[in-house]
Amino acid sequence: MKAIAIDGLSKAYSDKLVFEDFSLRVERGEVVAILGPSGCGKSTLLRCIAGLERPDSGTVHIAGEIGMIFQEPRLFPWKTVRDNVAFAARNRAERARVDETIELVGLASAQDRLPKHLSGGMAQRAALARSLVRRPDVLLLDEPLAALDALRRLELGRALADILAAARTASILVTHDVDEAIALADRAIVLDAHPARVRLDLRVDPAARAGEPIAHDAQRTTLLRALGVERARPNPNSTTRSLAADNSDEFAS
Amino acid sequence: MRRSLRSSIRRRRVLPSLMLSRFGVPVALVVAWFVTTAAGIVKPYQFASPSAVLAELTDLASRGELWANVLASIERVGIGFGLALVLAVVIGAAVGSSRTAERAIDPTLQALRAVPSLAWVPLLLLWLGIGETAKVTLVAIGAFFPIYVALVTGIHGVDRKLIEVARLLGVRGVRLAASVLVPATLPTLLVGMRIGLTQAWLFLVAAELLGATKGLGFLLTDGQQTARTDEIFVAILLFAVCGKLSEVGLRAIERRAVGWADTVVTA
Repeated sequence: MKAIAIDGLSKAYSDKLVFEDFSLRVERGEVVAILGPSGCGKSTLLRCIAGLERPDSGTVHIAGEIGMIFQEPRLFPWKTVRDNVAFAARNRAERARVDETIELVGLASAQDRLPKHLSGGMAQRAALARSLVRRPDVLLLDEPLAALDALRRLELGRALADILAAARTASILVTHDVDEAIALADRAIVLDAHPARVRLDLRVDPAARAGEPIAHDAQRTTLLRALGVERARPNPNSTTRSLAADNSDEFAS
Repeated sequence: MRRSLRSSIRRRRVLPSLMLSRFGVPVALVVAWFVTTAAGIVKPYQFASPSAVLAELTDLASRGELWANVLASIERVGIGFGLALVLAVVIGAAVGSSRTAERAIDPTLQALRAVPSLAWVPLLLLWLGIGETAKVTLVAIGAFFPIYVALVTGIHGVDRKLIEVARLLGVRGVRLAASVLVPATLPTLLVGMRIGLTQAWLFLVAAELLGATKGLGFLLTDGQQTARTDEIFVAILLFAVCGKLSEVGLRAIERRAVGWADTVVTA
């Protein structure tokens, strides 16, 4: 059975058709990146899958628990990091996992801090820990790195790659960053806007993911073409690219 | 090391000028007060001297009247404010969280709020006489609206994104209210309570001026009728102290309860 099965999903806002008859399957342990121009309905799609929004028609089947993180950390400002993470724990087993989850995201030394004393990257790690406490079967990531500066993106991106690989969850990553998609995803889907349709469904070349330059550039070009970006040259300022190039790092532990 | 030395030098030099700018005006006023009254420029029944005010204060204190009057006022403010708080929280929570309740109740309350609250005085006197009930009711009317408005604004302003996170985690109903809505609303509510408490003291003066046999407002009217400005000044002084103390108390609660807030709300 698939971890995520979406069939014939449609959603419209008053006069605007967001997506129509949209279907998608995601395997257990598979990471699918969804790319598309802003306003193409990526986030709405994710919100429909999460049950935060009701689609007009179609079905969403999720095998098990959902975890979700957003562009903003959305931490409860009156709770410490630890209490924010523990908020997601429902039973003794999940409460027992709070400490190891905080350690997994590298926040053990900051667990008693309030969100106002966290950097953007740390806050996003805390949010990630909160969504991982229940050991979700499906992880929905709505541009989780978009609000971070270049260095934090690189750092958290690496941590995210390791965590996703270790957790074996089915994940959908909404992003507008091609390099992020190549570095983190097994599959990259490019959507058209209004209504969102699958323009390209690309299996990411493991060599590209590992940072092999020629393979990486080839995938990059394919994705950028599909996105309608003309200048399809590698971006020398890209940080997420080196994310894949250098896999051995301090977050692997 | 060097830096701490330098900063301590700077602090020593800054301190006197800081003291001057902070306390210069009040000290000058008191000195001017003392000089004008001591030189007989103004008559004692127009402007009692600082020493006369101090004497009146110790006199009232020794006769036990000081405490009796202060306590009477504090009691009225306490009961009126408490009543206003309970009503404002119950009604405000309903209006803030339910569209139906908002449509049904809020316009009426907004209309009542537009009435300057002292306009209710004649009605209150007719309905409730000049006893404690009328005074406490007037204080409650004064304190109610700031708390109510703050609470409704606070509930409407709760970050929907945080509610969404809780809903995603399956947190609903009472637990959602207790773990998300209440803490998120608390900062605004506390600001409303602080304004409400100031209003409570304001309306207490009005209530006690209308006829009271004890209380700080009674000291005011008594001083006026007997042309004793020292008594009036004592009452004014005590109002200032009580108002300041209650505000400091609420601010302390605020710091403890909502120290997590990223922005310090001052109003």
